[in-house]
Amino acid sequence: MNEDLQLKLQAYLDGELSAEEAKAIRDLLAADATARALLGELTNTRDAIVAHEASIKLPEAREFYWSKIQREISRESKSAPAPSPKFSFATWLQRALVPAGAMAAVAIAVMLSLPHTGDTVDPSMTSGDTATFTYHNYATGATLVWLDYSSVENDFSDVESDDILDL
Amino acid sequence: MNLRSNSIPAWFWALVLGVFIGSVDAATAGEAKFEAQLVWATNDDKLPGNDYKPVDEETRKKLESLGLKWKHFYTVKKKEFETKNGESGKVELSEKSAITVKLLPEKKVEVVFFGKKGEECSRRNQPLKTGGILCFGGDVPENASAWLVALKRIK
Repeated sequence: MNEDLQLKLQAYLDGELSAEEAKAIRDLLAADATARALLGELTNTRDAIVAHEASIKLPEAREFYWSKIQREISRESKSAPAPSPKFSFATWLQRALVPAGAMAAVAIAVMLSLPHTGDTVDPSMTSGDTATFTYHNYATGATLVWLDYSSVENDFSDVESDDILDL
Repeated sequence: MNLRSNSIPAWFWALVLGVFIGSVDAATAGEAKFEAQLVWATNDDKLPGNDYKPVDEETRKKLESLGLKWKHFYTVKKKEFETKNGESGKVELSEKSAITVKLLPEKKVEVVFFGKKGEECSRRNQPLKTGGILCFGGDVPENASAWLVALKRIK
């Protein structure tokens, strides 16, 4: 017996089938012992559930019960504080100062992260350089200007360990 | 003739003061002394020749403070020179490297580095105090070493 037929049997038991479908199921039950057995099991199960289902009765009328819930919802909605439309200087100050303070904190952090120098080093180049990289060590007063000069012939391109450099 | 000091306008004294300060500054600017070194930086422990001498201790420390990856620094050529009227003229360290130094106010210098055939490779304008080093450098990809031209202000 396939699953559809099993579901049809359950629907038959619950009285959910049309007259035509119900007749077809009755014909099936008359001819098929397995179907009859399954219907018996389903009937027993339904009876057992219905017989042992806890019966809870409201102490008051359904309408009155729901009206109490509705009143409680309305009361809580009214008691919620509405936003104050009044201008508050403290609020305005807070809104203005918090972003400004955050920006100031970021600026201070950036300044502190930069190396401190007693004297200001001007790293500006005054002419179009070969591609360069510049590094300052302010503590030792040393500056390195690294040139992308590898493609150009230099003094040491021919130096081997055993050579003597001829300059 | 009665020449009273308060008859001379204030702008005149300001002009005199300005000329005096300018002349002192110019005189100071023309008296700097430098040392330029052509340095070879390598990790090879073996000296390539007797002409190579390790750089002096002070220079070595300054070069090491620049975070270079090489552990040996050899002086190939060293020249001391002074500026006259605030300019050094071209100081050649090899056929392929030379520099000029021009003194500027406030202890600043303008240093131009020239490469092969005398072409200008870099022009830098920055303060350089006594003892400070301005170092130009580049890779030597053929042997994984580097060349450096270290300019130190002595006075």
